[in-house]
Amino acid sequence: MANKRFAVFDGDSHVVEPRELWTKYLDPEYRTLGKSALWREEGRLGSYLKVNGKVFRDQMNSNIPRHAIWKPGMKWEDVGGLDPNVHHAPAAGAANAEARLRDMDAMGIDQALLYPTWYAEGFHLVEDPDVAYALARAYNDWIAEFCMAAPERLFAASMVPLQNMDYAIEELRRTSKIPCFRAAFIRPMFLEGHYFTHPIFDPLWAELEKLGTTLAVHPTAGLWNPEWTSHGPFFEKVKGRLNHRAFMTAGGGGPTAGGGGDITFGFTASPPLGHPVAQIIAPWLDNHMFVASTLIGFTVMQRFPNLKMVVAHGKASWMEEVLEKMEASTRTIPLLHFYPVRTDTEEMWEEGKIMLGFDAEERLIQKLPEEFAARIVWGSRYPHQDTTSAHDAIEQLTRANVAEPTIAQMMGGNAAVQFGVTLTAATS
Amino acid sequence: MPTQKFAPMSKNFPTFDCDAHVTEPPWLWERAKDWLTKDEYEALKNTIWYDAESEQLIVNGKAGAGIGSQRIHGAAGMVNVLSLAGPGLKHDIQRALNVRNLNPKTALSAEQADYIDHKGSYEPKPRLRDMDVQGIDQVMIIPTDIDTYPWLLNAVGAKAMCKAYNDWAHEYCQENPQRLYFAAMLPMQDPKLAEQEVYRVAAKGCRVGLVRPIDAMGNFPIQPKYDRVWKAMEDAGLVYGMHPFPAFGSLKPPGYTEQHSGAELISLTATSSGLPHSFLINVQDFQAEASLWVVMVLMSGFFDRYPKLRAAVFEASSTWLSFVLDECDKAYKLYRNERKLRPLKQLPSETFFERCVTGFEGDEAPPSRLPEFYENILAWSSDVYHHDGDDAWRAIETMRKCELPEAYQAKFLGSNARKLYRIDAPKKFIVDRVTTIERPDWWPTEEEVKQSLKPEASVLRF
Repeated sequence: MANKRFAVFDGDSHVVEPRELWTKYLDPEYRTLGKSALWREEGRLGSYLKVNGKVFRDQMNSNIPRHAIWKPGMKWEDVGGLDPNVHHAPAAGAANAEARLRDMDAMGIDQALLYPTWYAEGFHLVEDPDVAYALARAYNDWIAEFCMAAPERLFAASMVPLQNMDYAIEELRRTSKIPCFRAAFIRPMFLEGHYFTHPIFDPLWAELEKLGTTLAVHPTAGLWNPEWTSHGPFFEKVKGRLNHRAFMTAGGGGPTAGGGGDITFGFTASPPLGHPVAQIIAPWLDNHMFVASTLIGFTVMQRFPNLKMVVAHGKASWMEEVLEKMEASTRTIPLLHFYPVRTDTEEMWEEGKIMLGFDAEERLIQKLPEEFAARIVWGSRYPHQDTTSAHDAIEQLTRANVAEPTIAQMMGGNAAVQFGVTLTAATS
Repeated sequence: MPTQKFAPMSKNFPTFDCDAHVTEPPWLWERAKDWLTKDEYEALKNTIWYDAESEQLIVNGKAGAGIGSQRIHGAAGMVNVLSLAGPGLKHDIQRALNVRNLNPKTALSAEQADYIDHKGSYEPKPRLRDMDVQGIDQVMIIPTDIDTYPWLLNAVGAKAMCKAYNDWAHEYCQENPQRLYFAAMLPMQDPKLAEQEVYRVAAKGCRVGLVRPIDAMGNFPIQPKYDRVWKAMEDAGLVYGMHPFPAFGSLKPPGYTEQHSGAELISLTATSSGLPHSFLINVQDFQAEASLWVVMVLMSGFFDRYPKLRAAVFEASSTWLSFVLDECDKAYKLYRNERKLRPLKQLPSETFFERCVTGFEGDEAPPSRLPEFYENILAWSSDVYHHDGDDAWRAIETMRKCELPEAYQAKFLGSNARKLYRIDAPKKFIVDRVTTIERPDWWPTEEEVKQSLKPEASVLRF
């Protein structure tokens, strides 16, 4: 295990919302509606997320709660080796602050910014603005109490009810006065058919800039979401094309319907892949789309130059290529611009206050650490299945000959600046 | 007469451009009778037909379809983005011309638009001249209207279109078979017809079968029904060429509301904003389609089932592969206990390195910074004559800035692609860059280019 001499700030850590958030923290007036608008049920034989009364069932084996399965010491191979026929308890630290602090100690993490899990997946989809506002307040009150267990170590991103911009701004102002909140959460996805490129979000950017609140952008795989909301649901649909189903034609409608001429009826189905694939690429593409379209293309970075942001959980290696593409696109696409778009995209990015979440195994970062050093924030993803401990991350970066001060900046210093946190003394 | 000047450069190896485009010209339809049977010709007329009188492509009965491949010679007030990036049409010059077109007083005339409509896009002789200037020794040509063909509803009509295109492209390449190669279109609407076309084009010396990785009409190209197509490709030695594109979805049948491509979302970020603000389509579309295909084939064990098949991923950049392959390996480890398909014979990344090659563009620097990762999987694409295309000199310039050793440059810019396609290097190749091109009087000056790069120059005038 690596011995570290600097403080680590985990910029991408998760809680898993407990039932009591709905039964205790949600305003009694909204408990029935709130449980219909957004609710996670984890049963012995099956689990689902309910959004606006519609049930999205888990695609994975509910015996392995992958959103909270990781415990200190585990490797990814260990998760893949868990017996799917036996129920595995979720990590206690997912919803219990004391247990989390113990896990943080074991992982070499001194401080952390906490993101939601089920709210990340479903909250932006809640249709009723009043219910969304109540749900946001409930989450924010619960997580603020959670962070009180160690106010110097635990910080949170607040939930903002974007369903009504007046409510969103009220809640932003309220939470900005509570010390644990060092960011406001959004997920890069379509909301009511709109994206963050729409001018309806301009008051949000303005308020964040005015309050000095950092925007914490975090994608999800979208496994419990309908199509057209983010990349994940489409990818899962395509995965379904891998196998034939019994007693059905082979996709499409026949040789002259453009659907495929090989009409095969089968008595047995061919096996499906068996697990989701969206998490492999959807987070990167969701983040990439947000940065390219909203920040650069629709000029949010230009118009709100002091807006601070961390775009987490989607790698950082892709950024240079996006800048190259955007710079070319400002020249080669016939111009119909509502906003005056800067053509020196790389310079604009350098001047901006945006940081990207990264993983220690990213090859480009290992090879060119100095080029990324000032613009990236490390995250563990705890307690999700693909968690990396700080010890492992430091070991990987050290093995790649990244200098210790650079590692310290990537794994703590940058996050402290971006989230306005004083780093604690390092624990080893 | 103004002269456009370029810095002197030279190269010591032959280049192979693995992804450059032609635009399907009107005479492809005029001459279709030469290549098709009577039934095929009738099906072509009913499925995808260019009406020369109205100058419209009619697809599935819908007029005005397609993205304008047939609109040769350009039109006043417009740049034809499909045939634009010829020699010296650098991105800054394009910006100046685009800015001119925002104002009726400065917009391009028909004659000017014709000047920048590069004839090599649909005729081989001018292409070969352009290649000499652009430092391109050999090229694989790829059609343009690839957002249209997956939507052809009549499979026989689709077959006819593929056959007509492939025969036209074959003829185009006969102008210089040592320098020009074509990638074939396949009628994926019907696996049997696609299989037949694989064998037919292989007999003409074709090296690549093109497939668009989208779910148009539920036909994402990984389904078991295409087994015979992949086996035919293996048997005939064709490379599976995976070419993405912006997904306009303009040919979706009435009532078809399903998403068919990841690329639709980036377009939707612009169109749903309610503002007349374009230019995002080139940024993510290609990566969204290509990366999904890569993930699906690697995670499903596709290449284990077709042990001789090799694939090329075109026009999607390649930086993302440096982490997506690792993410595939990670997912394979994490879900080993829930996998229902057969275990993979090796890690997904190992399969990619063994069986696939990826295209990259000349302005894409990251691959040159990681040569040890990309050494055997990278093949350069000019994307000429599409607007974002550029010449081999630009690619060499990027690589030199990254201090990439020449041995790697030679691999990335030529020998990796030639190895994949089993094509010999030309005996003679271009060494020195052409450093001057004479231009007409109206060519943008340096000052005009500088002014046009100001952000406010691009704002839409109401």
